[in-house]
Amino acid sequence: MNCRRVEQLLSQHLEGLLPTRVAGAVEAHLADCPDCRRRRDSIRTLESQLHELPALLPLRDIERRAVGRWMTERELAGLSSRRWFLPRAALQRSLRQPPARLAPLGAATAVLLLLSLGLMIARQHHGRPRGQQGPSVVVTSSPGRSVPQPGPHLPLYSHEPRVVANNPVQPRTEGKGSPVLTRIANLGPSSGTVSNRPHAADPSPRAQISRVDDLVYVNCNPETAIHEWVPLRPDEWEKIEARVRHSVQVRDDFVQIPFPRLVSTSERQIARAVESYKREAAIVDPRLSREVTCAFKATALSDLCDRLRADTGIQLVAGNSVADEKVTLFCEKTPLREVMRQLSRPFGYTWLRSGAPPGPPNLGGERGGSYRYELAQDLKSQLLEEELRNHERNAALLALEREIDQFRPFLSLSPDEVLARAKTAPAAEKPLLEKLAGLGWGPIQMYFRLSPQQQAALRAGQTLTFSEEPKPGEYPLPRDLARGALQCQRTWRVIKYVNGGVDAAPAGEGDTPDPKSVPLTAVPEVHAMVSLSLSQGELGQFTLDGGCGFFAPPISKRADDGLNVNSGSGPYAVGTAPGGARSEGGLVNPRLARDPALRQRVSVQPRSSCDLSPPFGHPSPTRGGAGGEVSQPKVTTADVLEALHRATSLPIVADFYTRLYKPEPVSLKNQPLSQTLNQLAEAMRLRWNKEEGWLQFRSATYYHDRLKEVPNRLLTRWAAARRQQGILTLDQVIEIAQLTDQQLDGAEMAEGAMECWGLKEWRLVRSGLLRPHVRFLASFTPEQRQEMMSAAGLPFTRMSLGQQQQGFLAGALFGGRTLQSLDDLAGATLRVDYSQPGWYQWLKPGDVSPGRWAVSLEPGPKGRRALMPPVRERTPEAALRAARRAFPSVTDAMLAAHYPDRPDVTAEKLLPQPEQIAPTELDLVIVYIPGTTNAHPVRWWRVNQQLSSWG
Amino acid sequence: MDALCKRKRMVGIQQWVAVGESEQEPGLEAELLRAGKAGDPRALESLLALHKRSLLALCYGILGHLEDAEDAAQETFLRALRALPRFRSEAAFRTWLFRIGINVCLKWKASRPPTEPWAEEQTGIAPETASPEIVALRHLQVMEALDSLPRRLRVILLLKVLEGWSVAEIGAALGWNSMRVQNELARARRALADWRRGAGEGEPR
Repeated sequence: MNCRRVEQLLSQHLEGLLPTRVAGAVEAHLADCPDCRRRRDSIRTLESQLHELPALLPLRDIERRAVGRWMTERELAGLSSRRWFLPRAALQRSLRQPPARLAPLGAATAVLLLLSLGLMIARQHHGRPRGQQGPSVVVTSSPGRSVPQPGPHLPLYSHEPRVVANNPVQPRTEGKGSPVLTRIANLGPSSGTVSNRPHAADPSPRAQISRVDDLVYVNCNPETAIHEWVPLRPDEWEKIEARVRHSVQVRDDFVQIPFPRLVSTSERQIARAVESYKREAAIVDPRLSREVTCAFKATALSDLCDRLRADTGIQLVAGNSVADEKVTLFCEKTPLREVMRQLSRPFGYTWLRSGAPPGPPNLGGERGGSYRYELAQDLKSQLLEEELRNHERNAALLALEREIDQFRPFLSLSPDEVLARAKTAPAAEKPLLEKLAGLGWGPIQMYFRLSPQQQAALRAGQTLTFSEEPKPGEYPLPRDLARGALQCQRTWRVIKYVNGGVDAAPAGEGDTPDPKSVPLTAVPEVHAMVSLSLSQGELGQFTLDGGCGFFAPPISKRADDGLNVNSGSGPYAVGTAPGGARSEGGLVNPRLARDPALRQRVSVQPRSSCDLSPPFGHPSPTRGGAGGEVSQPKVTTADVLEALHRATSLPIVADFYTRLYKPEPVSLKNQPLSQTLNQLAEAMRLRWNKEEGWLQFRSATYYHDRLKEVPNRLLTRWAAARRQQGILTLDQVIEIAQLTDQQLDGAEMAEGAMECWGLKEWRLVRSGLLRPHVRFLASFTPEQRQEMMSAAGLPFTRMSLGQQQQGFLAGALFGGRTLQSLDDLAGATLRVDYSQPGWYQWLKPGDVSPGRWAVSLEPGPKGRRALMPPVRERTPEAALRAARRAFPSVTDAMLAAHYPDRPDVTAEKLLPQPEQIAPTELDLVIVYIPGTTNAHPVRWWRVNQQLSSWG
Repeated sequence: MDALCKRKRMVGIQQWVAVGESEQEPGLEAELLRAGKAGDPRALESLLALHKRSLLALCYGILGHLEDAEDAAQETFLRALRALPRFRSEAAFRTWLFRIGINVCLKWKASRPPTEPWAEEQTGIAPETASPEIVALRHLQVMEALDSLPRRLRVILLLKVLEGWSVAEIGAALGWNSMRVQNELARARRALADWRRGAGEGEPR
């Protein structure tokens, strides 16, 4: 048997229909011939895949709709057989519409729904007293009597009394009239004009609208209306609304029309609302076919809508829910309707239409003239995004847990044992063990012992502190962890003085330690503490941070002067949600991979717009590295998509979130388009799709990115101010600090703000340490802030009572220490030092020399101290002179008090030295000076640093 | 291992779904039919719902476009409802329904070219038997393979494979004799195998 014969018999063979002998021969051939075997296998495979087909299909309620339609048909058939006025032909026409589109159910079905609603009302209205019959009913129901003006002349919508006045045919109102007929009559013409295909031509629906029955619309019996003012329960209303929305397709199917708000239990009222909704839904606004050309890069939707409004004269607005969202949009001569569609559909936003229909058409007024369109994101879709974020958050926490679990096998080891093991461990295990051997030992050990409450607090963002002598708000440190927590702090040694005082000295790895110093574990007065925190730096990513510390009780002389050292070397573990920060871009629709339209070859060479005019521009002149080398400006997603549009001339729509890329990875030469798109999407973490000829892009993590993005309107304002002033004022920095943590924590947003918008000051508020203090400054008046920036600072006494009582202030000033006297408060001062590059200043040199902010004039806790004014001059020499002038005279008593064992330290040596003069840089320091005596240390915060000094 | 378990579970669920749809106790359908004929809309909905998925799959396979398929399935239902008083129970309701469906589909004027049967909004609905990509890919293969067949061949192939109709039943529905059905079925399968070869055989399943 040869291949050809087998090919002919294969189908029957698969059916099992061949006689045994023939089947055997086919089998034998198949066993020998790989080609035929493959053929058989591929048929089997495809057929088995075919079996999966039903399970894959989404099921909508087709059967319900079919039955509903069929029922209505029957009802109507019953009606028309009873010689109701409505011509059967018209009904049939309305029913013979092509089958309804399902996703948004077609208008024909809508008509039927309304009809059936009308019927229902009709039944329930029988038996009502005459006086309560519907208002201005047009038709009469006397059997056998012919009715003037059948269906096609009935009104759809109109507000024009003038037109009505010209009406030659007076509508009749007769008591017996049944409202249902009005319903049906009204619906007649609309069903004739409505097509269920979106964007179907609708040349002039007005032409089919008679003016005859505008009264039906205009007139209403006020008495009956009053009866209808009975509130409807909201959920009932929702139900109705949902039903109608579901079944009435809006012609411009991306536009959602606000459902008429009514409060009534009356079916008639509901029916009227349904009708008015129906009328609105049937409207096609011809102005939306005006063509527009768009080239928007990273533009806020509010600005984009403004531009479109200016170009077309149509009221387009971006609602608050989406006004600040940025998009990139490129298209040429595209109908506005298409553009609107692309602005809403890919992002799940909705266009809402409001406003009244326009004035009389015969006066030359344009249809749809006063409609207003608003783009919005509905609550449901916002909640959905929220859900996505929660999902990612949980995934990140789980990933973190897995990371931390790697430490579990080594928990029984002391830091020194871990260190010993790390030396011999395989390379893969080494970093892990080194983390555990160092300052991570405490936090990691502690993590495994947290109670559920503590874990919850940790997840909520609290920093947990465990101490051998817990203060309020701290937890006790388990005894067995104390020794290890001290042992792991190898970089610190302590010196014990004869008077019982203890001092600590850092010991570098290579340094020979001070011979008098001993390890922390050797001094029983030194106690351990461990801190632990879980931070969500970028959304979708959690890191375990914290560290170890030690403290010693105060020496007798100074009441509060104990040792207190804390250090950490985190993060010890990082958990990233699989879909989170590192989520990949790519194609959303695999089918497109084979789209022939995407086979053309293109080259994409993005040009950075960071150097150009708005919205991205105004970079600082000092771009590039410190060596003066000008690095190539980075490009944004919008730049890349612009280049893509230039290369392909395909219309493009994309969301925009600030991310900068080096030009190389996003430049491609002569590649097939589909491959280009995939590569770009992957490089820029975008997902892409092609729909209706448009290339659509959306960030793979848009639900996170949305929270991180800073609105253009703010960035533009700050960038403009900076361009004008050269710097941002303190007030503007404080304004930036008012952004949310998510916005300020976002690394890519920060890079964009600094690189593309030139806002170098962003760095200052990026710091989690400084940020709360900058925010705190917002509670002061601009005048007070001016005073803070003066040499004397803002004294506590000049703050308002409310400001004085702020817990934050007390915490920053005294750091939880108890006040010795009210004088401490009276002399307290808040100072802000905001420095810009281009100056020279004296910098505080070592750790133990007098501080930069205050200099202690007398020894002891009661001793006075003097404030050091900031000294800044244009040249190093001038700065040195000024610093020495400002430096208080050092007395022997001071020397004896500060350096009891150091005869080598002289007053001359303490004076500012030339090598301590340094150029200034952009810096913001917020200094809390508690009192004019040495009772409490001066504490200050700057970027990534929190320091304190006794002065 | 986990994946295998999951897959098994999903298959299990699918089986349940399939049973729920087509092979319920025979009495139920008859009862629904009776109640439906008497004018109970609920019963009619339930009756149609029993065959919805399969009918939709048939229409989808023939027409290649989900929205068209839904329209066609709805149209089929509507026609069946209209003709219900004339339905005598000598044939199975399902067979009768599918015959109407075939007629609807064969006369269907495609409203749009079947270029994007697997648009984004449909991807979310696929059950997770495998990763969504694989499911989508397989789905694509099937649809492309069907796309390469003339509509009539699609009909017989789908009836054969999905519904398990005999050659005689298919012949009765299409007005062909058995021999012709058999030949056309073989033709359809040959075309499938050829398509498979053309599309590259090394592709992942």
